Amino acid sequence: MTIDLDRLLRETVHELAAEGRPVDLTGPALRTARRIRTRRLVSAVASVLVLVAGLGFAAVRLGGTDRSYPPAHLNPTPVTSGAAPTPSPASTESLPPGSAPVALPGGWLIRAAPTPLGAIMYDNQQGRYRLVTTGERTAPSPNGQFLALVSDNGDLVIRRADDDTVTARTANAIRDPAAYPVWAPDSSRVAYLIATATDAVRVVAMNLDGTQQMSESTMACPATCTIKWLENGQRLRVYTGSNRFEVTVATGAVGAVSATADDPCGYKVAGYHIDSRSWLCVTSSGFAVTAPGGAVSQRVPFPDSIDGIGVEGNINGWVLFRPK
Amino acid sequence: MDRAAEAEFSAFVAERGHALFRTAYALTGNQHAAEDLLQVSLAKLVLYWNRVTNDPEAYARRIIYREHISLWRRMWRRRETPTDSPPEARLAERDHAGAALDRVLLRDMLRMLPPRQRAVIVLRYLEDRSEQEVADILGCTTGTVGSQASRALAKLRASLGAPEVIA
Repeated sequence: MTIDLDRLLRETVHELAAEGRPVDLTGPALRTARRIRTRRLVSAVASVLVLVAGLGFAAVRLGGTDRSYPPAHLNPTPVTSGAAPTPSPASTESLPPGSAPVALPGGWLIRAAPTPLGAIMYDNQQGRYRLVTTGERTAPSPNGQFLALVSDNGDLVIRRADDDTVTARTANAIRDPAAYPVWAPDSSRVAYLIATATDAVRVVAMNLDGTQQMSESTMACPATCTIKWLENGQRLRVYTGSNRFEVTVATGAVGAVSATADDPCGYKVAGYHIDSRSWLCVTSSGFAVTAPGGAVSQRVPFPDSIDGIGVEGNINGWVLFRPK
Repeated sequence: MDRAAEAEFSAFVAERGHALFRTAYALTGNQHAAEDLLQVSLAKLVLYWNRVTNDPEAYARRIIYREHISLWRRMWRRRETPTDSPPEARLAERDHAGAALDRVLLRDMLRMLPPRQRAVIVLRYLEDRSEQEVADILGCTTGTVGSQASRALAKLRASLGAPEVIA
């Protein structure tokens, strides 16, 4: 028996293309373009500053004076938190007296938002936002007390947010240059994926003291895989393309493929319960109030800035909290 | 971007956004990923809007395809051997149910194709582009297009258990 592959393929591709639900992306695209421009400008200015600093340093060296400052002092960063200056993470607080956290539907508030240089975080104690400049991959904890930082070579470091005390460090943990660790809802641990040699992954949950629990078996990962914590913080959901797995953190046990129902926010994003009839999903362009069936009743675009500090529209780094 | 250009851009997206989304969806096979791909591509189009003198759609499509391949390259885990259990080849008779099953198998295999091969397939079978046009859009040679198409078709054919093709 023979197959008319050309015809079948044409039909299949047309069917597939017609399946998507087009959305108006004009606004998000314009905002993203603005952010790209801003990032390029910041990058250009930073490059010039580094060049000037380098030339200045070279001039001092050529002048014969030995000024071998510790590296952290070469590029001092402003710290206005009142304590002794710390080299990293540097913090810039929002303008006094500080503004209330940005509110979202369902009583949720924005704890943290991604910026080109780190994150802007709301501090309950201070009652204001502050900019934490730590590099591009920063994941603040939901309680605002910790930062999970991923270095360029994949090292994962957990620090206290109000100083630079390192509580845990794992070398070469996250090798995916686009991946972020994901905080548990109670800020007690982070989770991340590690790849095996056979296009499969294991999930690792790391406590604040660096101790770890790894899933006891691997999960096939044909494409980009993502993880999110279920609301009780005892289980993780791992999305592997069209399948999903649930992992019990305490034991590392991996459940059967897609054995449990997914929430309406799906694989991509954190989901937050508003009430029994709706969820707050973080989508690629903002926040969406979503019914259990998936229908979106309200959309709130990512803000362009918080307290005058520009934030990024990318999906990583948004942290929400709801006061008890 | 001034207000006039922004209005032009908005009108363009309102008019052609649906068609561009179809392309993005065919490339990604996923609603969220398609939204991401199209949003990033449109943002890049905004940055170059003043230089796009005529046919912004062609320019947008070029960005979408190249961004798709580029995004994919940044993902370390998407490689060409993607699954422990590839779909079983279907060798049953080609009745109506069989044709439907073939399309399901084809969709699965399409999803697993590397991005450049998938882009070639979408350009050829969704947009009916010639080999030279595909090469121009993807920024490669016609030889590369031919080899990518050949590999993709071989995989798709194998997924159906088809030893030969009716032209």
